[in-house]
This record gives sequence, structure tokens and C-alpha cells, in this order.
Amino acid sequence: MSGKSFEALIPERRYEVASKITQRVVKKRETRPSISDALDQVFLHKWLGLPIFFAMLWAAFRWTFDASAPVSDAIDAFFSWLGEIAATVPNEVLASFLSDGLCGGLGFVLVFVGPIFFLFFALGLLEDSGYLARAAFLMDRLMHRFGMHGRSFICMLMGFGCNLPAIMSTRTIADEKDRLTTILVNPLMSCSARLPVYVVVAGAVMGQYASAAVFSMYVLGLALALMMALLFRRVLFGGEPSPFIMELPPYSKPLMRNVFIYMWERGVVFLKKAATILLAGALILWFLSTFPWGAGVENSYAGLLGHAIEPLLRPLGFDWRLAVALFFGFMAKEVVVEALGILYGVEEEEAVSAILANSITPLTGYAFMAFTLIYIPCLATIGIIRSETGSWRWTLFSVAYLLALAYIVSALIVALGHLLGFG
Amino acid sequence: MGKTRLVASFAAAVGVLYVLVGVLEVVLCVATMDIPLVPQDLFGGFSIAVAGSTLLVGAKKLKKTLWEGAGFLLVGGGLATAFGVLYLLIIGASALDALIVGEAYEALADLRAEIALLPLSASLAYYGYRALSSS
Repeated sequence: MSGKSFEALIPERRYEVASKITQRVVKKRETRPSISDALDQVFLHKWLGLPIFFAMLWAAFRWTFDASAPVSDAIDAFFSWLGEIAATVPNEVLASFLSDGLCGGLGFVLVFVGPIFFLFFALGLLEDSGYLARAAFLMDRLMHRFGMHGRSFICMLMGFGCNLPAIMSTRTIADEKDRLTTILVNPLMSCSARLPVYVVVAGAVMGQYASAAVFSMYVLGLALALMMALLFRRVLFGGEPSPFIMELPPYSKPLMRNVFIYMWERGVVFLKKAATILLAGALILWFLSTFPWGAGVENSYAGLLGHAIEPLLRPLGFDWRLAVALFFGFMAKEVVVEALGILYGVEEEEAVSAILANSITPLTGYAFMAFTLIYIPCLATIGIIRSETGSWRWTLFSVAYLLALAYIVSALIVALGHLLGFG
Repeated sequence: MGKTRLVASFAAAVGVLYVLVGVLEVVLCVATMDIPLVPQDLFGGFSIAVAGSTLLVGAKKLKKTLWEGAGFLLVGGGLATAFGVLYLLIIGASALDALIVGEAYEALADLRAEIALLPLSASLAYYGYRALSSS
């Protein structure tokens, strides 16, 4: 017929009939287009649509990282003060537990409350204004080109917040192949848990390019997700993605109440995680890096583990401390920063940055950020992949391909960096 | 000269200014020179050049249809205004941050051309909004 798929033809005919009926029974007083129509001319413009989208994302990132700095520093200062008081407890082990384990661990995690809440505030504004739906529409053509469904973009965008709800949201994709492809590539979307790692490492070694380096991680994640989706579609699944049919909501002035609810609902997930998994992770890390008591970090249980993994990661420039941090990042990615703090024996994020600045090169730092972005999803995400795919085979496949990809991409970054003289 | 044509010319001039600032911010990332109020900012430069380009398209379309051109002025002007306000907020946040950590802060060092151009972009965004609301 017209070359269009059956799924696309049905709604098209339905809209044609609805339009004819509307023309016959509705009398309009004026035919002037609405503000939403005028805005769509711009936001969905053939050439300007995507650049405007990227410019808006960049504004959201500057807001997230730069405007939230006072909140982070205030929390940091508070936990440092609390840690100093805890360190005065007479019993050495207890003092170390309270100061380094509890206050240090909590301080490292909660310092990221600011950027995470600010990020969700910005996304809430875009969502409530009706723009995010346009972003999905804009990306549909691109997504199709990479063998994905337009609705996949919404799931992937949610992945910037947390991969857990993002993978659950793939239930809205009817076609099983489209859904599986989206689930498999979703961990590549840089969730808010990776943000603390980027902020610390980029802040340490990237200088004035720190924001750009962090932003590039989000672009790298998206680019890799598209490439892997194309590969999976060609090699594993075959066939074309189903068409994307979506009614665009009208634009509206964002309601602050809605935006704050959006921010709170998503941000509180991080707070809950901080009080449970992350605190547990911090305490386990404190134990492994403190005992045997008096042996020093390098000869502690964590040090032994790090030295065992180090040979695998040495070609990427990662030492045993970075190796241990990555190992514990499997629990939750935020733990990577906590681990670095404990392994370097410091209590403040700025102190970790200062030590990193002297111990790794910008190239190693960038490769470490890329590795953190790509390798193994966190424990909770692996669980949700298992429950959503209903298959251990796909779950293990996702873990294995992400590990391999992380190693390859980081090695490529290091090799290219050396070639370009950044070593 | 009609009011719409005057606004179109003004939008074109402001659009060119933003594109110039954006291109300079990108070029400075590779060049070794300092220009006051124009920092090295790859993505920031790209973003503000996009806002300027949107204003230029708006200026062109405004000469044909008020409705269509006004949409571009609202989005281009709004985007440039958002960046101007954002940079002002960042200055405020940096000052507060310096106060918390007890360091000195030089606000003048963080001033940017986008802040200076803020009234121009805001007026164009407002014009676009008014034109669309009343049409």
C-alpha cells in the first residue's frame, strides 16, 4: 500500500476520520494558531530542534553542578565538624568507626544531595512545561535510525535519574524486541549515582574543563547506548522497531508545586539509598580498610583485594585503590567515592580531589570516569533486569557485555589520549 | 519603517551578537588569548550561538509572518535569557560558597557577555510572548 506499517496506518486513518468529523460538527470562531503551535514550529524545527534541546540540557547541567555548590559545601562542612567531634572519643576503634566510618561515609554520600535535587528540579521544569514530550518526539527519528522505538528515549531519559524506574518504565513498550533492546542499553544512561564520581574525579584532574568532562560522560553514555542498540538489533533481534505514536501535550507554565513533587519523589530515592545500601557499604568499607587494626590501608583486607585486582586494570592506569573503589561500586555507584575517601584516609570530598589531582593524570581520570559510566550496573539494577526480562541469561549477558565494553572504551580513551600527547 | 520590521532588525542585531559571543567562546577553547567577558566555554558557546541563530531565524520569519517569527523570538530570547540568569545565579552561588568555605571571591572574574546582553534577549522574549498572547 503506502509502505507504512499496519500499526502506523491504524492511528493515521483514525485521525483522518476524526478530523473530518471535527470539520463538520465544530464551528471555530477564529483560525489563529495557538502559542503551542508557534512554539512547536521552533522546538521541532528541522535544523534548530536538536541544537536547542542540547542547549537546554547544558543549561540544566550548569544549574545542577554550579548552582548547587553552596549546598554541597555546607553539608560537607557539617559532617567534617561532626567527624572532628567523634574523633575525640577515647576508644580508638570506636572513634575511627564514628569519625571515618559513620560521619565520613555519610558525609561523602550526602554531599551529593544538592546536585541530585537540583538536577531533578531542572528535569521537573522541562517535564511540567511539556517540553520533554517534544524531546522524545525529536529523538524518535534518531532512535529509529539506531533500531530503537521512539518511546525508548523517554525510558532512557529517565535513566539519567535512576536506571531502576527507567528499566521498569520499558513496560510501556509493547514490542518485546524493542523492549529488550531498551532494557539492555539502559544501564549506559548515566544515572545520578555516577554523578558523584564524575564530580570528584573531573574536579580533581580536569580543571576548568570539569563541567565539560562531566557533560561528555552523558553524551558518551547516550552515544554508546545508541551504538549498542543498533548492534543488538542487527545481530541479536533483527526486524524494524515499531512506529512511535504519541499525542503531544500543550505547553504550560510549570507549576512549582508539581516541579517540587517531581524533584522530591526522585531525590528521596537517593536519600533512602544513602540511609540503607550506601551507609552499609560505607561501614563494610571502613571495616575492610581498617582491619587488621593498625596494619594500614595498603595491608588491610581492602588493600589485599585491590592488589589482587590491580593487574587487570593496570593497563588502564588504575592503581589498587581505584580497583577497590570500582569493585565496591558494584553495590551502588556512589560507593566508589566513599571508597576513595576511606582508602585515601580523608574525610572530605575536596581532600579526595586534591589527592587524586596529584596521583592520577587527566587521561587516567577521564578513563576512570568512562569505566564508572559503563561497567556493571549496580546490584539493584541487576535485580530489576532479571525481573523485567524474566531471564538470567539476558541478565548475565548485560553484566558481561557492559564489563567488556567498559574495558574496551577505557582502553581506547587511554590509547587515543597517548597518541594525541595527553599522556 | 513599521514596528515589526524594526523589531526584526533589532532581533537580527542581537542574534548576530549572541552568535559572535558563542563562536568566540568556542574558538577561545583552542586559541591562546583572553577576551574580557568571554570565557573559554565549548558547550556554553555552542548553546548561546544556538540561541543567537534562533533569533536570526526569528528576525527573518518576522518579516513574513508575525506569528511564526514571534515564536522564534520567544524561544531564542528565552534561551539566551535563561543562560544570562543562570550565570548570575552561578555568581551568587559561588559567592555563597566562598563564604561557607571561608575563601575570597572575585565576582568580576565570573562576569560574562551573556549577563551584559541579558536585557536585550529578555526584551525580545517578552515581545515574542506578547505578540503570541495577543494574536
